[in-house]
Amino acid sequence: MEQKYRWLLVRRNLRAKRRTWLKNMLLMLVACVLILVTGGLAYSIDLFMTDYLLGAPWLRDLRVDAFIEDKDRVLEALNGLAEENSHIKDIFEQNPGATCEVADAEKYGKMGFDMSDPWYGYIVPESDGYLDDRYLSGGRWIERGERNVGLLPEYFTMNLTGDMQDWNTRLTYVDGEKLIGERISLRYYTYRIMGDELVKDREFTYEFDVIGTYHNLKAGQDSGTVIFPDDDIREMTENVERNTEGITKDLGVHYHVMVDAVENMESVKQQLLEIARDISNARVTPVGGPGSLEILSDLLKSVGIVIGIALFVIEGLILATTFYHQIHDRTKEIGVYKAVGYRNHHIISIVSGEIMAAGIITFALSVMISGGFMLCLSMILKWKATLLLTQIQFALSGSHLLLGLVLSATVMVLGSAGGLIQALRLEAKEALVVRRK
Amino acid sequence: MELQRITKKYGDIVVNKDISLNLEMGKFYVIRGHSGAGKTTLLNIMGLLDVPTQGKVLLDNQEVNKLPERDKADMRMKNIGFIFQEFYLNEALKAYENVMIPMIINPSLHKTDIKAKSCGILDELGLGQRVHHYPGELSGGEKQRVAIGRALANDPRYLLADEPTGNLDRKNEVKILEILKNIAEREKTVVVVTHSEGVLEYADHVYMMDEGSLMSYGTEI
Repeated sequence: MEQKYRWLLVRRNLRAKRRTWLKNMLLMLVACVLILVTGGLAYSIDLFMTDYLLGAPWLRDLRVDAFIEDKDRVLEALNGLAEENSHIKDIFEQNPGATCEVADAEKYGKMGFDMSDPWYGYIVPESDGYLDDRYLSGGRWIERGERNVGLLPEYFTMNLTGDMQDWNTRLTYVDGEKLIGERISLRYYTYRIMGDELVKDREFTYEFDVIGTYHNLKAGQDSGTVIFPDDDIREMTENVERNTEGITKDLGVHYHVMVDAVENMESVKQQLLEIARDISNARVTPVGGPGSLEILSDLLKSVGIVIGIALFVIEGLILATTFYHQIHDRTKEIGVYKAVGYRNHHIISIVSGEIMAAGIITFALSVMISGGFMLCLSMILKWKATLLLTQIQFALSGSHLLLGLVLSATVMVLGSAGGLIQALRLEAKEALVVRRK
Repeated sequence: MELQRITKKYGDIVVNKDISLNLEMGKFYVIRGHSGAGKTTLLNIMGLLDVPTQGKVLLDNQEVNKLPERDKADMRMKNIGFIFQEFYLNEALKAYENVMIPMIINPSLHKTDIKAKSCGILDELGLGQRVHHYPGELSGGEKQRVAIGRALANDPRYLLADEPTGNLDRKNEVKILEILKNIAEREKTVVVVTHSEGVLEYADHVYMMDEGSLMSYGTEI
């Protein structure tokens, strides 16, 4: 049968039976939209969780605490483990830290900081593996041996700790990329004890050129955390320690073991626990506790799959029923086709053509509706949600649409199979059965 | 076409009993009988829509009742046209498109010609002004003429009609029977199954079907 005539019959039959087809298409549309939206939401949220939350450094950080007298043994054991286990990115000792101020901070105030509020940030060394070049978002990373350079967060504020932890979009944020190329000056101090208080004693300066920015939302860094070269930080720490009298030495040592990915945390943690067992009173603690997020991610995937399968089955059953009834209503028409010499493949060609045409229209509509829904959801998030949640990209990806198309096509084929088999089984003599009056 | 000792049973019920019939070209056959006499079953067997329990259906001396379904479908397409009491036109298609239905699958027809051919057939049947009308826009008599056009689409040798005038008034019945008579005169075999008496004057051979048996009723008017 020529395609031209096949489509003539398909087109005309669709138009003549438009009420039935519209009813079927509406059912298909609802199911298809639900499959696409559920899949899209699960996919987008899972991508966000994997890419942002589960990838954040603080969730890949295992802390090993031990007494100072065990320091050498602990370090030796940890270094040995790092050589054996390629999932360990770095091992570094926790620094006691020092207080810095940004010199001429007033000039950055007009960029968004409220200088009347308390403001803060952290400094992290470049090579400790806590933040690495996977997070680079602008400019370049620090080169080996390079001094007096630093990376800023891409998108940050240093005001209001509580609001920043909520990633409140109402705050004014600074675009770190605009500061690339700027030279920023810091002041840091030694302290002395006066009564019960530590007071500033001597002042040092440290200057750095901003050479790049890192994706701080992905890294889970809410404050103005700055990345400096190791040697610069070591020099600053030594300056403070050398010039500060009466610093209370910590009786313990604290090492951070950075793992490359969250999924490798458990195996590394088990190896660290083995080391801890050999060293009295050593303790291993995951800093971020990724367990609950992983469970949430797995739960989300499972719920998505269960809903998807349920919708798949329901849509299949609905289609099977409606197609069966539709074919039943067309007994005479199919009987006439057979009586005039149509073979089964001709009948299948016409009926499946109608199903295919309805399916394509329905799928296209459901893609538009689902895409529109996702777009609206993204816009609502951008408008109302916290800064972190605005990073969720609700969208139907190409592979996701392909999957939806394959699923819908499979549902249609399976759902219409009963009706098509019924059409094939119809005998031509059905057309000659006359309803006697 | 020749039917040789055709018997058709549904379980224990004998619907057609040892029927033999030779259908000659250019003749108008009428099979009469009350409801349930087995007329439609016999017509179905002639049209290769049903298979006899016993006996043979010969077409060009070939036993066709035992052919595979696909070959029988081809036989029907090329040799047999059907007319039904309730027309069974596709309401979604225009009159000429309904006539085109059998032509679409006929490999021996040029597809570019079939629209013109179907319009020509309808014109011959007096529906030249109705070719673009949908069945819902036609009267009963016009619908049956479209159905006759569809039956003639592939220029078959046999035209089998089951109560073709059952749903028509006398005026339209006459018109349809005259058309069928004309068709028979063009060297085609027309078999009409009916309980109407109005058809008798057009028939070359009339048979009576009673309790599954076929009896000659009258011949050669």
